[in-house]
Amino acid sequence: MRGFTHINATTVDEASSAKADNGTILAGGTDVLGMEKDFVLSTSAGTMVNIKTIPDLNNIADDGGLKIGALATLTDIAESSVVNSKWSSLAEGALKVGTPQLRNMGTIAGNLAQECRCWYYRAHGNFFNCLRKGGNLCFATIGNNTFNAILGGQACFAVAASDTAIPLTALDATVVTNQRSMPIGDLFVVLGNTLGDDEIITEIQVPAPAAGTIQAFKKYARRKSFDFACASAAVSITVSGGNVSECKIALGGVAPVPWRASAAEDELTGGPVNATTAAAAAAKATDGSFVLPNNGWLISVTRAMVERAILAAV
Amino acid sequence: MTDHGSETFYVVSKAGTRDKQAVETVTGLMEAASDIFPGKKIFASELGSPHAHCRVISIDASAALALPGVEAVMDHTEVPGWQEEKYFVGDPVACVAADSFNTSQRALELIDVEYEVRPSVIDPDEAMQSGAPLTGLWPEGNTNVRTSNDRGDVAAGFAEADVTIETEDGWTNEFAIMPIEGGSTTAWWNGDDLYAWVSTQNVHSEARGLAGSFNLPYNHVHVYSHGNGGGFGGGRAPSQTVAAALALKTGKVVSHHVDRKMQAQNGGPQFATKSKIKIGAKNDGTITAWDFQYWSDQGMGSRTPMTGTQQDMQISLNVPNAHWEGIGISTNKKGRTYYRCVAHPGGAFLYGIAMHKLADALGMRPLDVYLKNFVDITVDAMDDSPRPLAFCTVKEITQEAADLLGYDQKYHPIDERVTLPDGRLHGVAIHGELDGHGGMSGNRAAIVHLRGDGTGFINAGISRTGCGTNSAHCHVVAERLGMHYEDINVGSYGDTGVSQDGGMQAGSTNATSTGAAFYVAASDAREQLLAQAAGMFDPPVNPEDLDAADRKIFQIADPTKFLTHADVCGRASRIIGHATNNWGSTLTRPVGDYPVGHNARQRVPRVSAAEVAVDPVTGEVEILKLVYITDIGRMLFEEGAKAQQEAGIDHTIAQAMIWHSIYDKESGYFLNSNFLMNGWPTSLDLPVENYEYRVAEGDSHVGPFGGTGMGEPCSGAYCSISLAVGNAIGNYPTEAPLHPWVVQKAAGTI
Repeated sequence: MRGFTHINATTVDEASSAKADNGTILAGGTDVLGMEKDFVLSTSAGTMVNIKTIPDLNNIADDGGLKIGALATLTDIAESSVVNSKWSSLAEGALKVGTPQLRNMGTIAGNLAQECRCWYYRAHGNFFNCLRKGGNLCFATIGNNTFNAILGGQACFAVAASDTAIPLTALDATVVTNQRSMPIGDLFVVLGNTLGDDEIITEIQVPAPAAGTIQAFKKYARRKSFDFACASAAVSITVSGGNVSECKIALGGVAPVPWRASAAEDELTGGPVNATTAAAAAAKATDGSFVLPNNGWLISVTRAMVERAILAAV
Repeated sequence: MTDHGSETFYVVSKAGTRDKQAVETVTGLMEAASDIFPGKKIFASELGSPHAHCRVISIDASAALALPGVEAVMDHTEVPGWQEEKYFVGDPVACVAADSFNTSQRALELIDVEYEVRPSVIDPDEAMQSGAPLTGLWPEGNTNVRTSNDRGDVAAGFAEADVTIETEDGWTNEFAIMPIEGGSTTAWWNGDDLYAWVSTQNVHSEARGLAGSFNLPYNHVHVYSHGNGGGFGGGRAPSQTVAAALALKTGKVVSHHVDRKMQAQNGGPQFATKSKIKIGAKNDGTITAWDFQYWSDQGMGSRTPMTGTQQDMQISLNVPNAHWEGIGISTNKKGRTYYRCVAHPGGAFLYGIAMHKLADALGMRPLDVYLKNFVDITVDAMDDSPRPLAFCTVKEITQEAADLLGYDQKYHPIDERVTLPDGRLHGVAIHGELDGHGGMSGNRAAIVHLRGDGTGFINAGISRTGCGTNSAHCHVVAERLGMHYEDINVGSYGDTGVSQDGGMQAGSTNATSTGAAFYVAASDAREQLLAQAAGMFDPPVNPEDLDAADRKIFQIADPTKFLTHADVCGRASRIIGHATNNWGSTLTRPVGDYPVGHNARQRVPRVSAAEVAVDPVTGEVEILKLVYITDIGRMLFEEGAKAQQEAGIDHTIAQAMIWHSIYDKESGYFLNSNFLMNGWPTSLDLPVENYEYRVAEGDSHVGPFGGTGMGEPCSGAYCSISLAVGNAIGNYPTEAPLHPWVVQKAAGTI
């Protein structure tokens, strides 16, 4: 590990300033410190800005909608009766992250802002200076792309690693920072996230589900005990009069950003939810996919996750 | 007391004895090489080559040396065994010693190296092509016929066959060896004497290696090794020479801790294999001929033990006419070695597919084809020399495993799909064989000490890697001396200065080969004990009139006349039993017409049987039941043997399902070299509740008290899992492990 300085921020403003001054935000540290230990980037983290010393950033409350402080841990969320009462797919997503130890340390904001797990990007000692690091090539496109994006890849084919981002996308969440509020979809871009140099996530807001809304999250990983998603799906389906009036389906592990499966949403909307319609929607979940030589296996897995999430929600 | 046939044992094979080193192992009290001299040592790191094949032109370490805390930087001009040409990514280029591990890591970034990049090849299929870049291992190509042997008349055998099948399968998976502690070393010098704590499976071999590297007499090298968290056959430190060289240069104690990544990269993984197999058989299932060609990716290892790939098939089945040919392929990767079963997991996978395809073609159950062709106890199928097998229960345990699985009820032909209520596909398979491990080596040594109160110590020249081998030795010694298990404890061990060479601390050989040495050493002590006791009776008796059992040294003619071990040891001068070697693979009891002392083959019968549920859409496989039986002749230490077996099943599943070292084919970089990306299963991923295993005792006629080794036989027959998946989906996966895309491909869903 290279050397870095460490400060304990006590206010968001202090943390924001420190981040802007060559700082790296440290909350749970489960991703940031691993990056440092493996020399993933070509330069040091600079100043590690500990924000766990900022008070009142870990609340979870139902205030007409769900409000989660940036420092709420994944265990807090998975075990929260508030979250489980109306936003169970989010609780399920939080529960599927890592191990109990990682969930005890990791925070919701850190889970959203974490770096990708592409093995070219994560290579020890910055072995591959890839596009995501300022290079000019996505090495996965010419190398082993078994776990890379089948959807939305644009030059970089790394996939977003966050499990909680997928149900949050299906639940239409808003990310609040010290500077703005934005739909969660605006947080993510192909090469990472849109947070500014002095911008810090402070809260996640999720609207209360409309009456008749059902939801579920399904994740496929190589190991059941702990692993990042090869493919995941979260669904939020509002049923009115026996038919789907609104439907959001988000995919994880298969795109550089949490991916809205709009064709599948359209397919399911307007009709009943049953095995037939679930299968039909799932078949459209990967519309627009672009398959690399090694990752075609993810198509059927992704569709299966969508179908199973829909049926699990019923 | 447990009866085994005509013999009575008081200690060996007795239930309830506990591992004498378990508590210190699980509480961290057992010394590991990285733990030595805390606060009094400096730390080493290595810079690896960024190229798969290159030559070092120049190295400028001035910036690294200027970093505060850096004590030394060394390269191929100073480190014994290093050369200027580098053959794989990670091949050591330079090493640093500094006052902290992080400083040594940071210093690596400051070393400026100029390389001449040379052509390289990573993929074995590409390396085989004419015109492929030369890896540098061999001067004229990247392939080498490593073995080619024949039996009988192969052409006539195929002409005689009613049914012939041909199959091409592979590649099998290469997977990294990752013991709990990497192969770490802490080394220091005192004058001309080199001292080193090394994480290793072979402490005396490390001492010899260091003596050679630094041109030292053996008695100036002192190597210690206690716990190393498992070895699995490749548990040798890649760090000892570097640590010793940096210690010599700096005059300080140097710790070279090998982290997970370096261990995975430089520890040497299990190699990958593929094959082309042709089998001919009569309609009743009798095999008439084999043609078994295989190719193995050796990386840059010239001595990769790939020839074992054919061995299990070769020794398990009656094959009157056969041709075997193994071709090694060199690629620009670290030299391949083996993980807990040399070549056999891959070999079993490949020939298991062929056996099942033969059965399918014959319209027979695979179980019946195996049973039809297994060797008998007095048939030596290995090399046609007149040697019997020490024991052979492969037919019996294969049938037993089939019964435990419910094979008769659950088997269905491969072209008959069976769908479970949840929509998944159901499959079963069985694979039995003789494992080539468990053999005897006659060059192990041991020491036994007895004390005045009638207790004693063993003094073993081995470390502790796994499930209580030293405790197994205590059982052997206590049994031989007529003492109780608690009377014999583990004394100094893993110390080359005071122990005899205990050989490789491998689960497949140590309990038996070093165990035999302890049997001989205990026999030496027993002879002294009985001689001393003989003179203590009134009137004195001859030593040959005495026996020892259950803490008594008694007159055979009248067992009521006895002395205790404490009686005798209290009056005896100190009794020390030595064995400078022991017996090799020679019979301790007759087998058929073969007399005691005749040279024999010791093989270990093993069988695995699997029942699976397969989701052909996602490629997910669930193991519903896994039956595993290993016949080790005799359980010298029951708790240890059962622990080995259960852990062996864990490894079997991991080998079948997930372990796989994946390389970038352009650069040669090891893409998934850490625990997370490599995907090692945790206990939560292993269906322990679905295991059904047994350690059988078929009574070997070679090993001490009829025991054999088991470390490798109890692991690695993962082919039953793959074959069960094939039975479920109607097509055998031809690659390992069972990645979801491998299953999907076999199922035809991609």
